[in-house]
Amino acid sequence: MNPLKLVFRPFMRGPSCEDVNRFLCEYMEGTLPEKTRAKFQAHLSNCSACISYFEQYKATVEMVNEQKAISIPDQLVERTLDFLKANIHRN
Amino acid sequence: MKQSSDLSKKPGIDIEALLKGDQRAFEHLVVSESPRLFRVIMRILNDEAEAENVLQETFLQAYLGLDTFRKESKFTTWLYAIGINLARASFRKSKRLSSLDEHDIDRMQPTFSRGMFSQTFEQWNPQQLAEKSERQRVVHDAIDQLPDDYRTVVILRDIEEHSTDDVSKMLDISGGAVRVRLHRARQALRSMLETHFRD
Ligand SMILES: [Zn+2]
Repeated sequence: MNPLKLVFRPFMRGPSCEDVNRFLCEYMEGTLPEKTRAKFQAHLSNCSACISYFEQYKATVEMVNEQKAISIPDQLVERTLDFLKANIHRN
Repeated sequence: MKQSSDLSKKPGIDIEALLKGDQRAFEHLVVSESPRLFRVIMRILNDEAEAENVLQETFLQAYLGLDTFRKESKFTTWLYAIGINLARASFRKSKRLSSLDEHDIDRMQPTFSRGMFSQTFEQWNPQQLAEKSERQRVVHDAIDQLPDDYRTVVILRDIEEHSTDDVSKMLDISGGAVRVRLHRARQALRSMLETHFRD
């Protein structure tokens, strides 16, 4: 049985802020069951506390996502292949 | 060319030949996977020379351990798992310690009373850190303070954008555990960034 179902069953009347918060990751990822997602969406469009918290949560994820690109050192692949040739033959 | 289904999106890597120890197929793997794998290792280590050593050691261990690969996971996921383990071991050996522990992460989660937020959250003013490079530095420093388990999940999911399913196999934890760690890490980061973005 899906463990999420046990958690969701109690909020037939609609989830609390805490319920919504606990599953924000799943909500953003789009992996909540459809009915639950709809209830969360309804809560998130009406609750000002959750709206402002979710704004900050999303802004955090966006800022983490804009971390600087990692540059690949020149000749990285060539040196790795040389290393492998040297070490595999030794083994 | 012969391909196994798990690598069908990567034309050119011949998994069967690879597993038989075919050197050309392995070279092909090195060429195609090195950049992406290097980025993950580099983000864990923040040290280019050490990241290159770890990358090379990863491919060597993969080659020597080809017969331990179990086909239920993707080959690349298996390869990444080796690289991430080596990178984390090297990271732990370096004198650097994460400044936060599990209790700090707990403390940085939002609190509730009878299901409702017990704090209020003001709107962030992005003008506070309008300069992108400055923002990147502040966020980077915050990520670096996370405990190792949390930091690794943030790097893999939110920076390098691997799927939850792949990350769960790379780290050998459940998808649920990946999501819980990611969620707690995001909430801790939000709390750390709050001081910088408040009006
Ligand atoms: Zn709410």
